[in-house]
Amino acid sequence: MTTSDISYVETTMPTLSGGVSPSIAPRIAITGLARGENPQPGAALVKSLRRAWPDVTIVGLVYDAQESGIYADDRPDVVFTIPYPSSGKKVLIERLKTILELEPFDFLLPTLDAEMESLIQMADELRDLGVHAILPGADAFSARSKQNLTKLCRECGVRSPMTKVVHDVREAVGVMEDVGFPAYVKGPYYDAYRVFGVDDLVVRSRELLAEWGGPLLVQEALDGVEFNVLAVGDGAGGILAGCMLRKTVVSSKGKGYGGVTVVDPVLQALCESLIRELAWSGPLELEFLCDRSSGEYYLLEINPRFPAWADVPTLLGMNMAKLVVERVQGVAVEPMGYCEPGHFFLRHNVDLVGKIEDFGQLISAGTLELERASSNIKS
Amino acid sequence: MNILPLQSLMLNDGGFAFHPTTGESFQLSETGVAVIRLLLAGVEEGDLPAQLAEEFAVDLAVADRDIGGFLLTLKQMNLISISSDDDV
Repeated sequence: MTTSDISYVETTMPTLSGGVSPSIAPRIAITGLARGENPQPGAALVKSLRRAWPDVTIVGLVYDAQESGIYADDRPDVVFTIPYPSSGKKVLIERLKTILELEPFDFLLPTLDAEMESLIQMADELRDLGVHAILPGADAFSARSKQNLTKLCRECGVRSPMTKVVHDVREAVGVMEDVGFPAYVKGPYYDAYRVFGVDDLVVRSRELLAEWGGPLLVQEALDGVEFNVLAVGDGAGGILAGCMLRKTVVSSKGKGYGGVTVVDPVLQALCESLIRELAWSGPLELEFLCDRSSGEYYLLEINPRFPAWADVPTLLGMNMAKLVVERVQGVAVEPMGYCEPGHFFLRHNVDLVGKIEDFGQLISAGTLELERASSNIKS
Repeated sequence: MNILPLQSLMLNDGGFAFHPTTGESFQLSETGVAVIRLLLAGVEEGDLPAQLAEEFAVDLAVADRDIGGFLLTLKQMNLISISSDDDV
């Protein structure tokens, strides 16, 4: 950034052709292909992986035949349905054995909070099947959980909003004397509601307990701007790549539909402290809120996987999906630093069409292979 | 006056400014752009009114008043800091 010549910084967008990996194109399974109101990360990762390896084989593993990424132009090469995590480890392993006989893959990149814990627990069984699941370590996963976040922040000198773990509605109401309104009540995996009084709190707590079970978190509501950081940990406390984003467009569900990249040394130091403490391996997203009155950052949560905006750094020349796969392939990877500030993203939703016969086949047979149109993803 | 944060601002000729640390963006007036460019060129605070008065053909008193208000805004936005000894 020059100071003597005040003008827009000339940013040279790295050519995407420079991002094609020399390593062997992987065969990789990905979950989380829905891109609707609550977008999942899988479809973004499909894009990023195809930018790195035009001939990559992508196996979509879906819980629902209505996951929109199944039918997108750059869809997976083949899709299989898998049982929900609540079905248990044995059922999933048996299903994966069947799938691997039909369409072998070497890597599994899970993207959904609700499946992470069970997959971490079955990492050995997956390895026995010849599948390397890209997962954090069990201890690190636990240490960054919503229930343990306050403790982690204390150990790292990072601020966090007052948070109480509650197991039922009565307990939730009971903690409000400390937390105060307005507040957030959050499920263990997904969904967070801003509540303004006891009636709100009771209704939302019941909804969350019915949908996700407990425990819930009741958290003070701070006023400020959200900053998200996507990073890849090297497993030894270091960071291989990072992208800091200020959210500029937020949906009614609180999802980021637009943002601008920033580089803030203060935010960087906080992330490095947390990742060092966790010795995190692989992708994670750290969600912060910058308090409007104090200007201080508060950590809201750490998501143990790529976020829905995972393709944004790839479009800026930093393909983190490629990085994590190359790492598990044993390719020597170098730290990439942070994405350049001053780039914005906006989420654009499109309509997809498909044949009801294909939808029906996925539901009844549990598998669907649709020929892809020529990919519009340039390598 | 410490203008270090100002030096990281991305600014175009039309007055659009982006702060790469905070992600904030804002629109400056023509005179705002002029003041920032003068500060970044090393012009002392005390010399700003005269320079602005000449560039925009306004009375010195008007320039002085407007600059004072603008510097206060920059300070509130943490783009400059002024020590207690500085005369704002």
